[in-house]
Amino acid sequence: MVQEAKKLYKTKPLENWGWAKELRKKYYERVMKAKELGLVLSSGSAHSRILGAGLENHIHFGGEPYGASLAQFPELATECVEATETLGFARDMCAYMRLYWGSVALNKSPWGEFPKPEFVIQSQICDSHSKWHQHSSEMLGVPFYTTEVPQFYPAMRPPDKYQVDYVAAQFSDMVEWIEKTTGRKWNDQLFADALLRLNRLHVLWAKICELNQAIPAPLDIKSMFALYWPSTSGEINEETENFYKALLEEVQDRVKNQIAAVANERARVLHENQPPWYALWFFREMEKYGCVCIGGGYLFFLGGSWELYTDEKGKPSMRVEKPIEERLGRPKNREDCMHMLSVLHFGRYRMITSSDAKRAAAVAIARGWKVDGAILMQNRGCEGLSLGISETRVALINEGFPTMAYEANMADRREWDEAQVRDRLEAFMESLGLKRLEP
Amino acid sequence: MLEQFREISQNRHEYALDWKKRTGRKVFGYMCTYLPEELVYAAGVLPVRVLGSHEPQDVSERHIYAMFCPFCRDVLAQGLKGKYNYIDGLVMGHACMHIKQAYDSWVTHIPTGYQYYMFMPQIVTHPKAKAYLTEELKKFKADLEKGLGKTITDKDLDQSIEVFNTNRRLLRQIYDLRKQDPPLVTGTECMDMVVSSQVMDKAEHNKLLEQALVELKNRKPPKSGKRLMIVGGECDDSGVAAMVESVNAVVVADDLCVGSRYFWNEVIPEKDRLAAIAARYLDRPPCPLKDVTAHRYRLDHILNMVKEFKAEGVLLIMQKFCDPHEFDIPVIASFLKEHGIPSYFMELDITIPEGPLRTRTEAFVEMLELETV
Repeated sequence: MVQEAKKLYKTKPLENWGWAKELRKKYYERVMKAKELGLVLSSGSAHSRILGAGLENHIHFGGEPYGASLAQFPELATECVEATETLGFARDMCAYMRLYWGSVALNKSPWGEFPKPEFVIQSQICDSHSKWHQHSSEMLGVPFYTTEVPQFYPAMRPPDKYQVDYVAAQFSDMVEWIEKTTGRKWNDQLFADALLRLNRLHVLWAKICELNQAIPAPLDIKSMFALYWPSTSGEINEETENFYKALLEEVQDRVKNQIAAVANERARVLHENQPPWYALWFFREMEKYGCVCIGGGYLFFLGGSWELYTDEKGKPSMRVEKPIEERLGRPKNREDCMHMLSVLHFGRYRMITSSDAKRAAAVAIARGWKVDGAILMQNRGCEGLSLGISETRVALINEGFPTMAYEANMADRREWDEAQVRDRLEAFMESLGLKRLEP
Repeated sequence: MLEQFREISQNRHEYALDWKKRTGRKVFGYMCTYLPEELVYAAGVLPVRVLGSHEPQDVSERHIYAMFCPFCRDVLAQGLKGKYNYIDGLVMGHACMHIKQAYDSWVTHIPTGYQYYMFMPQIVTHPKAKAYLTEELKKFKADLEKGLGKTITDKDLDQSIEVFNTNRRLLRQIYDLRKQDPPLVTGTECMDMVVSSQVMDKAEHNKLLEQALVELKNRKPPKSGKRLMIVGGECDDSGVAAMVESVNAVVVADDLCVGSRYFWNEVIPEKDRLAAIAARYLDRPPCPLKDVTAHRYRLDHILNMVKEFKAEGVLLIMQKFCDPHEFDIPVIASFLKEHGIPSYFMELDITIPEGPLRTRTEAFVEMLELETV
């Protein structure tokens, strides 16, 4: 049954939307022309972009955002995953990785040849990342260096000094390796600036996400997937920071003036895990029921800096973390930088590697962002983010939030059962008491 | 007397309950062999590996996504079904995300008593890994002492290390009997011995191994056939080896965590006992997630074992959806091919599809026979 859509709130397009797209376009253009432009191109996971930031004219090509982008080119994406399977690798492995490897094997990208890096640097945010770039470097025939961050349980306790020191020592060793491998000098000042700026980007993004607690939500998740990109990928530079400052102002204004992402917002949900990158229209479908998806753990934490804590009611809560410079001061030397980098890694990694932290975060978001329900992707394409997804669902149910789980693959569209997902979504919307508002 | 190993493996709960009654001591479960068991044993506790039952189940699906490995789901199912109600604690050395999920779900939903999760480095060859792991062991030791209300002395550690090292030595001696052609001990028997060592008091297991060695040295080779090595992931069902050995083949070596990876290297004594234990776990034949740097140490080790045990072919096995082994297996297959060693890949699940796997193994063995001709 369809109800006439009655607009409850004002709405308008985001002014800074185009800027986000431009940043991404510019970044990929520079990656593809890295050699021509005299840039030092490294590759590895997206969060490893900071690890080479002490080199002048450095640009990092992150595997996951590349996989997410490539997923949106149907023919090439299929060619790439099939190429990886031809090499003998299983179909249930990380989808971003299979796209990346296939792209290397075929020497094809959406914009020309695969941009071959000079070296690969990695930090192990999940089991797949532990091995992904070991093999990438073999395929590419380039040097490889990896670091790791200890995991513990429960995840939310602070790391011990010896654990922070171990990670910092690895990063220091990595700097020496980079200098030796590339024959270039590391610039500690440049690195310190990049590190502080990266953290500021994460704080800015977290503040923007926090504003989505407002009713109506100023942002919808589909738009946010484009807006969060510079906080996790791309270049760490002044323009990116200016973008986020401008976006923050714009979203604050939208909250003040009750400008909604979804004009007929009647219900709110969160989404856990990556989205199906090739089918982002999925989020528009729920908007046809007056339901806005306000974001979720993946979106908030991957590019945001948060403090997860237990509130006075004994429930998980979260707030934007203070910038690291406020907490630790400006780093004075390489040792300080590596210590700071280590502290930041512990905070971020547990949101991928820890089932207990993730479900606490999901409950915190559900409560803080006042959702009516939660949608969780059981993601065949990512074991890291699927770690704990079932327990997160149980935790949300126990807190009284209705949930809908759907199985898909964030970057391999061959595992997208559109009919089934649509049916589930429709049933879930109806279970929330929502009727479709427009055809 | 070799049947005793299988009987104990298959009746491991009864063994553990009886051990508790006899000794009055505690039992802690663990899921992955990267737990430093010597430390737990030195505390007077029996570490037992939590294993699955290889029976279909549906209790773990609510807690662990179905695309995580069958072992972690089966292991959790045993806990949820109450099969391990007798354990006094659950302890873990960090291995993979899937088994970490099993640990998280276990301690969240099952009354567990003592719990401890210890980070075991993945970059085992890093120059600072040993110092780091020694600190982790110090912390674990302190926590054990607090939890158990007892001090773990250097003497306790020395005695524990000696028991474990003896077990490793004895198992190496038994494995050496597989170098003969035909071998004096089958792969099935060896797997029963190793799996039983993971669920028994090693002091008692050592006595059985000593008796077994006497018997084995005096026996005629029980069977012959194409010499195969099994390489791969968790596979505690010795029925897999039995299936392979039912088709004119004999399993002469392995690189499994229920095989040689478990016991291959000893603790080399040092003044700092914890540093010595740390070194042992860093230096042991790695599983895929401990072989993550530019140089792949597993390949060298596997090739050496193939040569040492004169394997004619390699079976590459893994639990379905096991990402770590999915990373390594194609690389290992390619590496073996470069060295003229045929290999064949098989995937396992909670239950083993014996019939189809036997047919495929038979075809592989026949292919090896043709190559010999």
